[in-house]
Amino acid sequence: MNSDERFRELINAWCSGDLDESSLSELEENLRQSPDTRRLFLEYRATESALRATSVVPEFIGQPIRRPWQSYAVASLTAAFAALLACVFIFWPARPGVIATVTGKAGAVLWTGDGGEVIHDLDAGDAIGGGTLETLAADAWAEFAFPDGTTMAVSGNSAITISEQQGQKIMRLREGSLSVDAAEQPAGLPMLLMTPSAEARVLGTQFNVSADDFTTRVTVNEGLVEVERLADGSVQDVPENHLVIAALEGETEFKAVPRRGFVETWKSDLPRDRRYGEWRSPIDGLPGAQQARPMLWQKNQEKPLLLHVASIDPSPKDSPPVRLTSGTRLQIRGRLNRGHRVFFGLTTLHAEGGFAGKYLFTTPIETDHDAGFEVEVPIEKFKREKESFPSSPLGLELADFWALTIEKNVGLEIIEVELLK
Amino acid sequence: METEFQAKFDDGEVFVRYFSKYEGNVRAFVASLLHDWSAVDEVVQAASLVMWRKFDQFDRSGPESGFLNWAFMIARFEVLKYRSRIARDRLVFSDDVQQLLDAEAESVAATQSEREHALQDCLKKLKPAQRELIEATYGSGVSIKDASNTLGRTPTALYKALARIRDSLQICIERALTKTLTEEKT
Repeated sequence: MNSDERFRELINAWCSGDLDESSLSELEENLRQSPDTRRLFLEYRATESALRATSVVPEFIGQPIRRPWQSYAVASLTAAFAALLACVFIFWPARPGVIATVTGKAGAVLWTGDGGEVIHDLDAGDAIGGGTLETLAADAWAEFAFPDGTTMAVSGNSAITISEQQGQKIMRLREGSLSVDAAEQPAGLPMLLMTPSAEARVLGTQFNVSADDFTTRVTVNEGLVEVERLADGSVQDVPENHLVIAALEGETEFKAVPRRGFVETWKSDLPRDRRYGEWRSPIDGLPGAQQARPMLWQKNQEKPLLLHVASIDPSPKDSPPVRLTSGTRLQIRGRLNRGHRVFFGLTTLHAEGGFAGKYLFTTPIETDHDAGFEVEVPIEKFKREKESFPSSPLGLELADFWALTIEKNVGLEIIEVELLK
Repeated sequence: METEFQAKFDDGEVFVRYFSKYEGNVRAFVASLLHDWSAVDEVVQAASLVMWRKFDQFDRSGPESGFLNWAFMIARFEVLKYRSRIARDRLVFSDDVQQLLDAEAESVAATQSEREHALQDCLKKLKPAQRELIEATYGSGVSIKDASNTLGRTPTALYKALARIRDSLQICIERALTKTLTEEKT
């Protein structure tokens, strides 16, 4: 039996539900390794679907027979249609001008439309017009797509206002992290991305932005982005594999510099790397630490959850990107008033690319006599938050690290985080 | 109000037309991501209702094919929701393999109507006994075991016979699709 026949045999057995464990592993390995086998599998599955959808004897009746499930689907839709017609005399909100469509989200995401409409439960497929999208927690994330193919992902504690004027996309990132994969923009109508300290003009490119009240970092992976530092109006062209930092203060040099090669180990430098949380200076022999700040997470109409969150940026300023590789582990040192469950998370980017996914590890923590704790977690132990994210963080770049507790304030503080090999 | 009523009525007609046209594609897409056919039915049904609820948000100013991309996106989300609430099926692939299939499923499912047309021609080329076997297993929706009792054959023999028929149908369909593609290019 040649390999093609063997693949077909395995796929047939899978379709029939008649595959033992070793054959399933063999099929999986083939699917993993071979694009041709994947294609063959999908084609078999599509043919199965077609077989279930149409009659095998159309010549006797002149047209395909509809299967029972199709009747159910049509019946469901007919019922929904009838219900809609019955309700149509009730006030129907005017449809706002659609700018983009939500393509994925996780965690606490809030949409406030220009008309004041507030939505807590945005879902994939929802259309959004002008307004502000906020991801409200360290583990939150939202992705949206424009009709021209441009996609954007915001994550962590971020807020972006989206608008479109005469075909020109205008974004304002108030704070947080944004990853943009921009399709080619119409001539004379570059996408404008504004932050508190910079303005970027984009014609078509892949780049990542992080911003707070004083500093904006633009990292370009493909194409070219023109960045203006608002403090003095100076402009830098940022080509691919370069980054620029636009700060309101005059000490940080405003110049496009090549992205530095990645590193596989990293040690936090607090308070410099602080992203969310309060810095507590060393006192009474205790080391300085980043204290978790409270944050409310309200999902739909459910009772809000109180979180205490601290997050850290591993690549501030022009530090090299931190790549997560096999055999590495995170060592986290911190303090808690008392033993409690703590959630640790990673936000990741594709290597030299955009947003990749969020990964989580949770464990109950017992403290020692001076309320300190130390946890070591192999990177492989972090599990993705959504199935749509890559299955493992290995090979991805670390965009931020966060730690949080839920409901109780147990005085979570992070003293130091280190990625060890 | 009358205008709004008419607009929603028109919406419904357009939606039913779109959905009828592309339902097979959506079903093929979902079927490539889930093993169990009752799960496929459930997810397609759930996805169709979400599409219906959100149809006023679908941008109809673009090409009609945009509906298919939009429908795939909603169906994918419904598959993920289904997977997250249902215990693992023994035949579900590991996450990384599932992702690889997920990434390529749309391109195969996008040609489902052509596949269905080709299938009709290929079914005609089967021997009567083979067609009867296909009708007995796919047409009535019974299990292989029940079909084997009805047909007086062992389940193993039926599996093997069905596998041979699937293989020949698959090869026939791929040839037909390749031929269509070549003709379109020339």
